[in-house]
Amino acid sequence: MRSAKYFFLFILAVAIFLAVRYWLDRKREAIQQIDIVRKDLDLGDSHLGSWAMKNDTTLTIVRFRRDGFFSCQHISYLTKDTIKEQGRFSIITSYVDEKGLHYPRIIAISDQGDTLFNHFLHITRATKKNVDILALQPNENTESLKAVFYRIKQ
Amino acid sequence: MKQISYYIILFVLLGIMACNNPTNKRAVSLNELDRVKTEDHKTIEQLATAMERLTATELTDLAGMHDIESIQLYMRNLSDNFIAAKKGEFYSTYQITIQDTSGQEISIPASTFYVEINPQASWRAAHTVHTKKLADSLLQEFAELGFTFQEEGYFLGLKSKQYRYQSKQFPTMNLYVTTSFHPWYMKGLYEKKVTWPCYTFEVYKER
Repeated sequence: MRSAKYFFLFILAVAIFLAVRYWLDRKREAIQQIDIVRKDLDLGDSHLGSWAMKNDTTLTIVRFRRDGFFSCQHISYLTKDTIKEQGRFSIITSYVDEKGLHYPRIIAISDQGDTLFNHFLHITRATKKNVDILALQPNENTESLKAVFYRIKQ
Repeated sequence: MKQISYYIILFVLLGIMACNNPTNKRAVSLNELDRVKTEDHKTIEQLATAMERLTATELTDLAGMHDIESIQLYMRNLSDNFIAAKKGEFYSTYQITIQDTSGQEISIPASTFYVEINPQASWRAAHTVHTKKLADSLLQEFAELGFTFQEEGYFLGLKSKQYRYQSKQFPTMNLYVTTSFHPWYMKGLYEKKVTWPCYTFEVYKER
């Protein structure tokens, strides 16, 4: 009976801790303008945060926010040009049918009405370092070309 | 009083845990991005190659085996990347999508390793890869092992012309390479009509 009481107290303490942490995270996000994604508690928000894709000529930084807004910055080193876009995005969640598992899909439309992303997305981890990778694919074919973004510090 | 101080310590610890930004632990700074990306690509390429096909060294190892039991034992060590289907048929677990000669996209294993198990047939073991890129990289690996072109002909009774290679490092071994639509007669993946080019590598040790 005593152990049941301690177990209940333990569960209660964990629940309170998680609730307080969740509340603190959301407050910090609002104050510090950052996105906090916890690895130990999957809230289906792992696509949030700042991501970058870089090659010799361009750098693209995109930030997906919890409130459904996104901002995107595209820097071209050759033309020394920077294009900034912002708008809203939504996620179509993954589902399983007779063909198997379908990745979630992200659709991001800028304030000007341009569709910047309409891609299947999946999140993996870099092989050497503990760095999140966001891969965007136009279709679900694993061999097709994909845009690979690395999570960057905020 | 003692109990209150415990609670204070507990809450301070909880506060520190809550304030630490966990997302940055899984992120990289913009300056480090190039380095992480390069390292990642290198590792992915190595891993993908291991999953897509056998290496030249593995094929020379297999060439030294003259019975299916030894080959099965050897392939069991590679079972992360190659799975055994029927007896004498091994498939790469890595699926690729290629266009066949009619332009239709088909999804097939990146490569196969087939061994003749019919006791009446002459011994044959062939590693067939399904893209030119894989074939070129495998041939390059054989070149690094010293294999050089010797002659061409219809050595193994196949319909396609074969190219024979030999290496001073492996004087008793012959490598036969061919591009064919008939890599194997009526077996497994090649049972029906093959509509994509196959690149077949066969290594045999002289007995």
